[in-house]
Amino acid sequence: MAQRKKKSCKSPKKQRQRHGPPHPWRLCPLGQHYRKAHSQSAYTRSDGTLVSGSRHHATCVDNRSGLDQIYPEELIAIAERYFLTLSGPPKADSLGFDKGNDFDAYIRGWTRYWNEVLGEKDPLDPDLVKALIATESGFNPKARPPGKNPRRARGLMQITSKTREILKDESGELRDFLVNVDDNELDDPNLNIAAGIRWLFRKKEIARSKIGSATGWRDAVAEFKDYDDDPQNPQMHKFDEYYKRLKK
Amino acid sequence: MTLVSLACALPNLSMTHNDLSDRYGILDNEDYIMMENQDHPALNSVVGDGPSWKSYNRWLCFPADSMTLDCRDHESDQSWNLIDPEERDGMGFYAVMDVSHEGLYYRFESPGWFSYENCHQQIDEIQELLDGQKGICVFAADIPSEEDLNGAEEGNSSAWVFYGIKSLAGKSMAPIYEAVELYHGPL
Repeated sequence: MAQRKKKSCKSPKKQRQRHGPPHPWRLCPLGQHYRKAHSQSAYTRSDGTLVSGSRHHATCVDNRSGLDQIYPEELIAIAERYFLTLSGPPKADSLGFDKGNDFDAYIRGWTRYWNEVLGEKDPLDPDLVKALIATESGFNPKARPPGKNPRRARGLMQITSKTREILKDESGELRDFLVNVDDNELDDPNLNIAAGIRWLFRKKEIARSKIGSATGWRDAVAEFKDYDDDPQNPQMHKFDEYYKRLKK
Repeated sequence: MTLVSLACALPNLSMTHNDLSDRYGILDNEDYIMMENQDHPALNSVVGDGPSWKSYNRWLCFPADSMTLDCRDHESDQSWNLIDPEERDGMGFYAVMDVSHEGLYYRFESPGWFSYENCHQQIDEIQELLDGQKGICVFAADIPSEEDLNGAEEGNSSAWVFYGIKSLAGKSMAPIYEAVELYHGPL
């Protein structure tokens, strides 16, 4: 509850309303998030009173911001329900990595989801995401850069704590379609890819603000990797190689 | 507000039969109008998951000293002060208000979870509203338990999601209730 009022207004307020249907995979109406069934344990208070426990069904909860927010519980439920039956890219090519094909279903599913939700005219290609993951982490879900900084990048798409905070910031640069994950959850390939692709879309917006209407997804990748000032960086060459191979 | 939606806005917990109305002069006309103008439930069932239900926010008022505040991990429900400070940083916490009142126990939690810092910021804000006050009112929707929905015997505790809190010291509402323009039509 970010805003605080000392004095009340003179007139009643009407709630912010979301418009349009949610994506068909979403479990709750637009403006609400999914919370899985959960139990509250009984406990004894310090005065000896027993407080009863209870079990609650899954619930759709109004987002406090009125914005669209998606939480891990729903990201997991969507992947379980829908992703195994999808087909299409990315190409089943491990690119020489042990786990190179292990996350194709997540890449396929979340690329499709964000393309549909964000309505990008030039849709993101799942093969591009796969090539990006190859260069970011070599498909290692526990990948960390060297060092002990707890806020360093994590997982398949090397998402930093700072990025994670932007992704869920209700008054931040994303403006809408937020993703709430915590640091530890970024080690989960499904959650990491869902958040990482959302971030890639944001990076494309940033690249577009610099380059203009000619911005392509490679520019978004350069922005994602922080090589926007150096598009000939060897890391970008590696990305290009992987992407070309997947498109063959 | 239609009769049907008004019925939905009423608590479905028979447990809450004790008087939780405003005995402290905290709420004003605007607060009641906001409650009555809710155009959709704050909480509802997930399609295809058990019985259908919906829950609207309502104001519940308590003695200020009946409430305790906490930040609890969204996964383990552990209190922040039991978690290693080095691990807290990347975790997600619900802001939780526990109320013990006339033999009944109410747990109010934030609609979503936040970083440790943001959760504490919220808790501090609520604490400011509590300090030196006799009463506090919470704008919250109840999460029915399976026992409630099955008509089984109720316990002495209930769970709620809160969207606002108000005392004579001030008011703090979730942005969704702070946003957009005012409704001037008939009630």
